[in-house]
Amino acid sequence: MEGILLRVNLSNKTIIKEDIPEDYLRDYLGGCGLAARYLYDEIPVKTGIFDENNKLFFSIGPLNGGSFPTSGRYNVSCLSPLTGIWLDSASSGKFGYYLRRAGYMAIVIEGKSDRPVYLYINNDTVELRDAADLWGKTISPTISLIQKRCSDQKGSVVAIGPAGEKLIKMANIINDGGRAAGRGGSGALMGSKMLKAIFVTGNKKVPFADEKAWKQLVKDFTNKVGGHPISQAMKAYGTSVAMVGVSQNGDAPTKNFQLGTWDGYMKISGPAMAQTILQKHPVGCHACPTQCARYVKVENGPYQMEGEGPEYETVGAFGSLILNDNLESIAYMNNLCNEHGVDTITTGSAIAWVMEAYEKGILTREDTNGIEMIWGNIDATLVMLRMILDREGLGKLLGEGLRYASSVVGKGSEDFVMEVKGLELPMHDPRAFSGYGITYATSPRGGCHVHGYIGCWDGRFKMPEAGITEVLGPHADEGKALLVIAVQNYGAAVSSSVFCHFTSYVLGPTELAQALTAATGINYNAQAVLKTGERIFNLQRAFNNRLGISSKDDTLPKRLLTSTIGGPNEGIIPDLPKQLKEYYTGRSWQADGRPTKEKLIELGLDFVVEDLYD
Amino acid sequence: MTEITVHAYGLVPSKFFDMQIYLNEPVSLKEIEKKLIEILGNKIPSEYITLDGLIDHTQVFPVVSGKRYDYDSPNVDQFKEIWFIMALAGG
Repeated sequence: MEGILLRVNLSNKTIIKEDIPEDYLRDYLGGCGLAARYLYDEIPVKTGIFDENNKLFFSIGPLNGGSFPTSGRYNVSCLSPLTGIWLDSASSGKFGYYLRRAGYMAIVIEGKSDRPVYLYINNDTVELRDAADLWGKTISPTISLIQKRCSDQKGSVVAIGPAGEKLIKMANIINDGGRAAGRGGSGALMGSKMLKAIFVTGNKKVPFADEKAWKQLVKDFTNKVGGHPISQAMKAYGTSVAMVGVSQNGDAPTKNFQLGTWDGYMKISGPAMAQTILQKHPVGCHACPTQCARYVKVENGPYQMEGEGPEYETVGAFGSLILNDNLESIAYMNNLCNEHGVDTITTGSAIAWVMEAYEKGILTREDTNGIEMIWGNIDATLVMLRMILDREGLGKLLGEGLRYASSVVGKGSEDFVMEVKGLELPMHDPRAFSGYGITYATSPRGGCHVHGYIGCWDGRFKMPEAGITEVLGPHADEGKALLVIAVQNYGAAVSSSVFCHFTSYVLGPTELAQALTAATGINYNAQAVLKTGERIFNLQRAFNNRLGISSKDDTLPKRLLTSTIGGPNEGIIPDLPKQLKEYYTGRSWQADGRPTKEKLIELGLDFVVEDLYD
Repeated sequence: MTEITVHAYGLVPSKFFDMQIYLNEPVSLKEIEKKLIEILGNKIPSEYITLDGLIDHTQVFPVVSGKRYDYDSPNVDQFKEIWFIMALAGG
């Protein structure tokens, strides 16, 4: 197995091609695993979030570059501007495919440019180009202009919007028209480096070790993924089809995680979207048989827009979380966020927090520039959203993230900030599925639902390869932490391979082992896949331990340890201490939250031991 | 005979619809599921059917009055509608 890393230094404008050590590729695969291996060594412990020493690491994996289902995906990692700890973030689209076809497994962006630039990659031609006229532009014109400038070559563009340029800490990196590497503010780091975008194209043949087996697996897995009923539902209605289930199982956070039920869910669901604003244009990611992305248009009224439609998380964040049942307004807010390049989960959470603080009298009209921040007020939401994007008044404070904002506002507002380790929670409630609680508490990037993708497994699937031989109930406490560990390990392998978590309904560790073996020629089995994921997860943990993260940070907001008001899960509270105890034992972590020396050595992380243990 | 409204939210992939079924009293959840499988046939994916010929509740779960429902829950004749919802997490 081989791979090339592009090392791009923006300070001195040098570009170097390096061979990635074979053992890195074998033991960390690519994606977020390879990123962890490099950045653990290359980001010094005392690095500030916008220091030159903070690096952006774009990476793909051994399954990219061909037609493996959902393999247009890529990863981006760094020290998070929002949380100050580990961040890996992934996005789909086509960037991952073209990067591999250009001949690269990773790009590390170092230093800072003194003027706006974009990176142009066309096979062996790699150069920094002037982006002065692109600075300040929103995402669509940026991508469109770069594509024109690159002679309309087929390729992919990742870019930041004005939010990244303004260093708003929930700024995303956006690609292919609306796909987002969200959470944690990687777009702000890109902005601090004055890197506006990356264009990539290529036509090199990607070598897969066993071409015959590879082709057969691609065909079989594509059929399996595309044929699964969940994929068919997402193809028909997008990810916000999940709102249908939520309307009955109480999984969608409502009124800032206070309520357990609401009569607005179905109005903002995937089926509602299909009946109203959905257009027929195909929008999709490379080699994906599901095609869950939406293209929507609001033709009349105050929320006119056209573009990529809101995903489930966005529908939750700008919908149930703030009691807004107007789907057109949600599509408009989503488009505004995408064009400026900010994370919709964090932004929706910020609006919800302001509404609750306003309701409680902690924030007043004086703080909100005279806006009535009452639940469900769409006009107020839009004004506050623009204040965030313009870094104006209270919006400037919110742009620093809710943990910081609540520490400034005080007066008890910290009690209803829904975040873990500084990352605002996604749109799933641990009181509906207890696995979310332990997942949020222990994810290396903070409150996150895709490290691993527990929503797919909790209450639904076994993972016999990891010794999980029974389906646990959605509210079970006992045994749930062991499921979460297995899912996190598998998820780390998926995010390092690199493909989409939505395949998890069909593909598991056994199938991934088959794919990796065919792609690399290295003989992986399911246990090796899970062990690789465990190595990656623990290295990311060690990255955080070195920054001071410990067991005290593995917790949940107080509200999640109390009951919802009403709803199907009223009175049900996850037993977090019990789950954490089981988790730490299952992970071989010490009571202080560090992996034991023995575990680190077992995983081949010997180089970490001396950093964590003097 | 009693009429029960079934909200089939994903029991048939890509379809969300309501339907009425009629059963002799007293009815049970098992009878409802058998009736649905009889009516909808192979429109219901095989992944959703257990070896006992019932609905797999890990993949599609029944809900009554906002609560998950199972075979040991109270008799169906206490209510007039039931939801069958596919297990999908969103993302």
